[in-house]
Amino acid sequence: MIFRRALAAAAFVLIGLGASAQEPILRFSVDPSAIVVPAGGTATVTVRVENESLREADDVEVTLVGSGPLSIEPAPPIRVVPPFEAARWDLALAADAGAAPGALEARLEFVYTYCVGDLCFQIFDAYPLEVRIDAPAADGPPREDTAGGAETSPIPEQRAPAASPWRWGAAAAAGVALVIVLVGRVAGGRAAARAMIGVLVLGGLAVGVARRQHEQAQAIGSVLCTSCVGIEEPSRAAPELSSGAIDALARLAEPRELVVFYAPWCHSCPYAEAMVEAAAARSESIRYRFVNVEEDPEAAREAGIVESGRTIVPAILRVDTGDVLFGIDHLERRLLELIGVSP
Amino acid sequence: MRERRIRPRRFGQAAGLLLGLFGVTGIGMTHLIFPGLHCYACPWAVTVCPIGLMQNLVIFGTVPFFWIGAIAAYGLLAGRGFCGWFCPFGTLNDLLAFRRARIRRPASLIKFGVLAGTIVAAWALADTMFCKLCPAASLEASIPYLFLGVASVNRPFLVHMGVLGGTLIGMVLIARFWCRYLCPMGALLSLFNRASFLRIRLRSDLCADCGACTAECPMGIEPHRDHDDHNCIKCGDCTDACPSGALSIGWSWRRRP
Repeated sequence: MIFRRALAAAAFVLIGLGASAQEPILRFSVDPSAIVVPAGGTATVTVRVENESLREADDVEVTLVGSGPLSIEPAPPIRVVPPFEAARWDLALAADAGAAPGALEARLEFVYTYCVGDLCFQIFDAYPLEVRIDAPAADGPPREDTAGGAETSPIPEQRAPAASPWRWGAAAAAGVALVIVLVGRVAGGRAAARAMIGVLVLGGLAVGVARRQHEQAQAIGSVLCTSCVGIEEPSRAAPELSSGAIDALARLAEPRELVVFYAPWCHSCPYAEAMVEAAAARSESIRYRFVNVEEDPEAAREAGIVESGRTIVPAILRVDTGDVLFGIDHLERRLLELIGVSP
Repeated sequence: MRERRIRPRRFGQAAGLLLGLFGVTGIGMTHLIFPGLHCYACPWAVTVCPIGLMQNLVIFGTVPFFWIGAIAAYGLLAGRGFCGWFCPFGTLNDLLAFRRARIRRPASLIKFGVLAGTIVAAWALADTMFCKLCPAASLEASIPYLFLGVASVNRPFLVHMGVLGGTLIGMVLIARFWCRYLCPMGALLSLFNRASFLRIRLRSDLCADCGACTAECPMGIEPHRDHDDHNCIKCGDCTDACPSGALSIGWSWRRRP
């Protein structure tokens, strides 16, 4: 009986926390989804930007495209959207006074960047808008949000920004202290403790899922950084090729194409990237590129660096043979072996 | 009587192992946080290690709503019952439980220090330091990846093996050594032990104070004196050992006398 109940409870938990797919780096949404603008007036549109990855997104810009009689004041870019945080613009969407009533097609276009070391990527995205222009009011003042012009400053999300570890620790300590008190010898403590823990369960899971922290957890678990779990030691020093390696690379005549798979937060990856760059600087036969496994998991799967859904980084692929080396232990020797030269 | 108790617990532990190694089916990582100590770097893991995730959240400065919700859910359901009934590393402790010594209470507080130290180290060093010392990671990640050609015998590997060796020796010398004194996940779940639905119950009017339960307890506590102890893993061995039926294990959904 106990086993059956435990199994049912475990199944309930499993179903409640079920899996779903990961999302791209930034997600955009617009509120309201159906926008009504009076001719000659404005409507406030909230654009929400959510960062769903472990990377930091920089310089997020928005423009209105294909809008005809619609316009927005140029909005200052959002300089930084930290990992798993959000920001928003409140844009004033204005319609010309002579705009004909009816539906319009328009879209917001976004551009932003993220960087890994010296390597930066520029990303473009778009969001279609459903806009309807109403006839102007027969009399009365213009809508209040037209009086002072468009308010286009990016406004920080109302919720707390990324909490410092101190706040995290203080909150955890307060929670733990409360649990200890309630669960202790206080009369009626058990019922009160259960109620409080129940609130923690429902509140924590609801807010956590709303903030996509379940996806953050999955993302953290999906990529294995070799130095993060003690498989090897990270190295932050710039790699220096030995004279034997330099000579061997200079003798390389056959073309070699290498792909370095990395994750932005991996401690060992910059060393692997720098080692391949150093090798390529010594041989014109070597071409290379870097692939962020979170950006391009399919490439990681095709390269064979995924074990049971776990992507292992850093990994260096030799394209023509499909050979892969993982990690940075004795990297110079192993890289030369991968390339097929001997010092 | 004993058979009736042990069999479901073994099934529970087998289920823990099954979930821990479910990645052999190729389904990959899910959003689930494991209710025990199980390394998410294990090649066959499909669940996220709560301690590993906790460290990463500290490093990223994320307020851990989802983590708190999941841990509280597990705590409310069974508290440290997951240590006794589900955790694969707890199962390993069980397999090596040859000597049931009494617990040293001050030493059992070390696991709270390990938990606090893990958080502080993640914050101060921005690194998952506990993972680099974790015996579960040694067993479930370092060794498998050595055979998969990802890991090599280097200093971190030897450190892992040293910690694992020491922990195994500890387990042999003292039953549930890791669970008693060092496990940060056990420390977390123990906070919920008195409130959890899975409970050991004591009928004081039936207790003869014979100490049979204490002799059987793998955690070395005295169930007939403090059946709600934060070190109790609710394995139910004491209920099987009790000759007078004063101790029982079960779900308590509402308040009972």
